[in-house]
Amino acid sequence: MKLAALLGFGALFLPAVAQEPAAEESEVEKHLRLAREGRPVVRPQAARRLLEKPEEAIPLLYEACGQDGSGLADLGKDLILVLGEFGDLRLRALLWNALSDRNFPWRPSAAKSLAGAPEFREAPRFDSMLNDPIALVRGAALLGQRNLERRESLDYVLGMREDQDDRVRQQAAALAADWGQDCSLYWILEDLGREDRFFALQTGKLARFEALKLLKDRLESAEQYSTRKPHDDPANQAALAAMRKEIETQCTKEPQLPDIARAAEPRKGDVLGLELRSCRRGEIFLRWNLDDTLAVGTGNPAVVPLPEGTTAKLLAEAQQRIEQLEGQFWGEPGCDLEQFHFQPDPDARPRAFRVNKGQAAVPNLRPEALGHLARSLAETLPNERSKDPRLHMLRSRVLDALSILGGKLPVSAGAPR
Amino acid sequence: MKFLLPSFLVSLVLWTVSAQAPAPDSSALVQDEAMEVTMEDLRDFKYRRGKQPPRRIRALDGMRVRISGFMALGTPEGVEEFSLMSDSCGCDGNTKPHHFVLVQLTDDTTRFTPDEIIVTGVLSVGEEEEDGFVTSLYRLQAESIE
Repeated sequence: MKLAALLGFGALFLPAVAQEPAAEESEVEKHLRLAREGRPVVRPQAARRLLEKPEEAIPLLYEACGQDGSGLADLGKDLILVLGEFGDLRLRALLWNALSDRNFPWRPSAAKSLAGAPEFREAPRFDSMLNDPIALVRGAALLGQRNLERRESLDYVLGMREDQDDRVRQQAAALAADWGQDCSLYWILEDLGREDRFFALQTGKLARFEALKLLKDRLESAEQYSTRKPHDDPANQAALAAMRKEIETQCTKEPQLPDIARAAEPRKGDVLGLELRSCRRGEIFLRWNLDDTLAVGTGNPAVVPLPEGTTAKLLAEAQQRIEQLEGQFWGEPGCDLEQFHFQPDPDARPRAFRVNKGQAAVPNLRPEALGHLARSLAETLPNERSKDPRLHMLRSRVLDALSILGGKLPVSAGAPR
Repeated sequence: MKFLLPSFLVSLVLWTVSAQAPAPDSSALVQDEAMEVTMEDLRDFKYRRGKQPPRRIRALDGMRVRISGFMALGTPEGVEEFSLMSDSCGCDGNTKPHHFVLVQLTDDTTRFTPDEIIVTGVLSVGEEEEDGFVTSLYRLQAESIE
């Protein structure tokens, strides 16, 4: 039987009805089980069903979390996402504790859960969240500010329109616009012109999609724009002109956007990439280009010149290291991943090699060849203080994230075998 | 006949096609006829359980489509279906029914790859439920995967 061949995480994709129910399981117990172990698409639905019967669900959730909250992480992100909505003081306290633990694996989910139904007394804690190193937590902090109507944070929100993460920039601009800063809509409008990619990931397309959703909620003329057509399509250009005209009725002078918020030309010649995404340490996107530059971030990245020949040398090493690998994926689903991108031929599709960390730490998760490659890549990174948060102490941050993700790197890159 | 992909493409290609699939020479023609659809097209509406998706989405029901995306993180080895997602990292928050395509394999089983893939096949649109929960909105019977 093929299902018998599933790996350890195979249960994720078993049909909801195929889970082994406990004897005489109540409906709420069933929903709790499915919210943790059902198919990915069933989990959020089952979690929300628990909200319909809080008297029965809350004691079960207490039990699952344990007295000290040590069981909270095992609930998984979908259950954690709804815990805050129960309005239960103990559950909220557990979420705040989790959020203060930098090693809690579902920090963004805990933050979003709290922000969905914030309490006024928690306002200072939501202020602190605005500075979190993780973009998704900063995004949740903005949601908390919105739900609390905390307009005294407006200046800070305006500053977050220059966040290094485009999702945060868009949310900050939308919130500022909703609080009367109509010129902020230009920040979102700019993202409609994005066509950037990070190897196979169409970061520009995703940004356009999210930007249009926000604009449709705020501008009638946004309905005429379609992300299914190119930005320079005549119909889209007409829609764009209409949107500008609509914004101009509220904002008389179009602001000069900072570089980080501007749509940039798609880059050519990026041959190596390193993508680090961690619920514990945040996200870092790095690309090495044949012209010996390093691009840091997505969208309009920060570009750093590298010594001549750096990329060619790294590329040659990467080719040798990759030949030593068996497979392209190591680990299990979770909140942390490191992904190595490899595209020596710009006309060919990029290849990815991924190390994924689940809830628990796994020693020696990263294959040795990737560890050496990661060390070589990291050694080319600048490590100075910088006003640009993307570049500030970059090498140290990358090494820290790599050690959290796939484990410590070898001391030196060494020569490829 | 089973269409075995050239060995030099093995790293990019995961599975072979079903028993009814065309011969290699004709597959290019068949693929040309498939309609290009993106994951963003499929996600671009406010989903509500029991409410019909927009007409442009319903019109895709029964169409041969070609769609690129990523295998869902956590796709097990050796099963006959997987979820195709718009990102490779599972960063899309919780999974909503219109955020993925359930790709069904006819004559083969999964082997996970983190690379972008392109799937061609017949798309069906409509909520499927199991045990009171919506388990998919989009299903695609895969003919080829590149």
